[in-house]
Amino acid sequence: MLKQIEGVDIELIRKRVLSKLTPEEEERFQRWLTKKANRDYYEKAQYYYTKGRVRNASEIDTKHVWSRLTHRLPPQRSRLLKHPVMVAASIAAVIAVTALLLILLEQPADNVKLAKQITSIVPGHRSAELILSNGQKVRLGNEKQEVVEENGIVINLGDEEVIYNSDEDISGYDLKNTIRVGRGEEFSLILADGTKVWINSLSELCFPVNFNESVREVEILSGEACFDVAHDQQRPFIVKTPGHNIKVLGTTFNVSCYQNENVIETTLIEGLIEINNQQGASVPVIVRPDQQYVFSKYTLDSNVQRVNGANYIAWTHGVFLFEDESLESIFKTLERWYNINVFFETNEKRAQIFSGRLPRFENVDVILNMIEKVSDVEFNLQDNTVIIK
Amino acid sequence: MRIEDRIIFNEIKKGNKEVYRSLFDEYYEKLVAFAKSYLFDQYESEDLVQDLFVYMWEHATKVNITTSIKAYFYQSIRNRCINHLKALKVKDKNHLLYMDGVLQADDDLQHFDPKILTDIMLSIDELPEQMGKVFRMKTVDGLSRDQIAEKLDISVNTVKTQLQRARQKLKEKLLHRTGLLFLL
Repeated sequence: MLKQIEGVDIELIRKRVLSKLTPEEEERFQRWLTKKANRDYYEKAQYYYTKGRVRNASEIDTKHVWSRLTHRLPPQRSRLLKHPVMVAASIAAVIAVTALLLILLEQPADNVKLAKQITSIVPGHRSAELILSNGQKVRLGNEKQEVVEENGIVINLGDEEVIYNSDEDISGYDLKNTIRVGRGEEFSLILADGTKVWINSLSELCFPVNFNESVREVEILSGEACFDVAHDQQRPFIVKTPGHNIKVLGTTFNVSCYQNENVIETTLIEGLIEINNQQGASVPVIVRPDQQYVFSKYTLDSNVQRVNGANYIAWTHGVFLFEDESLESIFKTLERWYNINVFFETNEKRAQIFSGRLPRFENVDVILNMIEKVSDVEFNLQDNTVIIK
Repeated sequence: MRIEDRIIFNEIKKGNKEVYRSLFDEYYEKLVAFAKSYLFDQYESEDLVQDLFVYMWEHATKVNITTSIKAYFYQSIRNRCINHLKALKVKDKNHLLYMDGVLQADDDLQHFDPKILTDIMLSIDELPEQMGKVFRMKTVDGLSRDQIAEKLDISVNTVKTQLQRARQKLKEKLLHRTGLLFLL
């Protein structure tokens, strides 16, 4: 009677190549080897494991392969899209996918509804307003200048960043500055301890000009900021938010507490943070990297969820990164950056989910075009209002 | 799926051969290298990869990619190889062939099976410092050989040698992890 051949694992084949089989294994192997196809496979494996390459190895001539391959393709499918822009775009496609998006959209094809009504809504830019301790307001983002605070601390106002120089001999820790970043703006700061803060549109942060010896404390009154905190074991860094405090030693995290959002989200990228002093809660909570602490301003509930932290600080690198986000939430972000109003014609569109990486420093029509390309959503731009159909 | 991938794949669905060609140019050799570590045969591997390309073109509207085009490619080749092995009654219980394929594919690692990658990542940590660095830059950061050479201020040839040695060493380490080293 014919016995069914049992299978062998690749481990057994490797062992056989090295002549390390036990008698029982050898017997099983020999049973497997009775089939011609199996013998062929074994011989090739043997060659590969002893010589480090396949037996019939040869250089690949991709041009030749391509021409053979195209002969196998049904002819009628290569009908569409001979538009030169498309062709140009496609070559870039795989090598630089993001570049592809830009080329495709530079000259929108006829079917892109937006093309006719582009009213060039420009993206936000680096600017803000700084309020000094005496109440004086300084516009940031135009020209570089230096300001000396009342306690002697020198502040460098750059066109993209404000730098607070530290001086250990200087006291007067109660002097505070406030930075206000409006719609369509962003800015960054380097605080006196070396901590870097990126501040997103429609945000307000209050901080001391110089930190004292025991604690570094800043307050985010609203909006979103990303902190890259300078390590200092002796002086914890505390960010006060409208719902709770965030205490850190040295770490990177993002906090978002917009007034028109129901929640305060604190996302940790690196290090360790402690959430404390929360309304209605007594026990501090530890948050770890790639975790997000979500606090509801209305129910005072909170929870910790796993997220991809990098997504939440993408804005500090000049991109919007949306991962399974609703159109409604995406447009809340775009509203703040482009200084536009958004109107949804139907509620069902609000909930539609998108993922994508979009350039932050492009005009709004570029962004809208990209979203149109991959969805059935239609946009209409009228003055400063985007209508979503 | 990311927007970029979605756009590229939409072009394939529409029959945009230029986009299809650029996918072919980008992936063909890498996928053949990957398949070879399963099949130990140049021609069979090439046929198998070509079959996938033809299939993708003909059935683009039915292909459902949830992750990324790259992940789809490697996963499909893996499935086709495993099917091929099934006919021969060969199994790959401990993913030895897969790990070997990942190392041969000469691509960044992000798109492979994360469970198996953990093993590889642990082994990278054990490589000599510069070798590990070069391998990481190539496979994790996705830099080209030229870019690595420039960044580390070494010659492209050194990068190539380092990568080759790293691959060899990793294979040994992986065998060790899977309890096979004692056999060598």
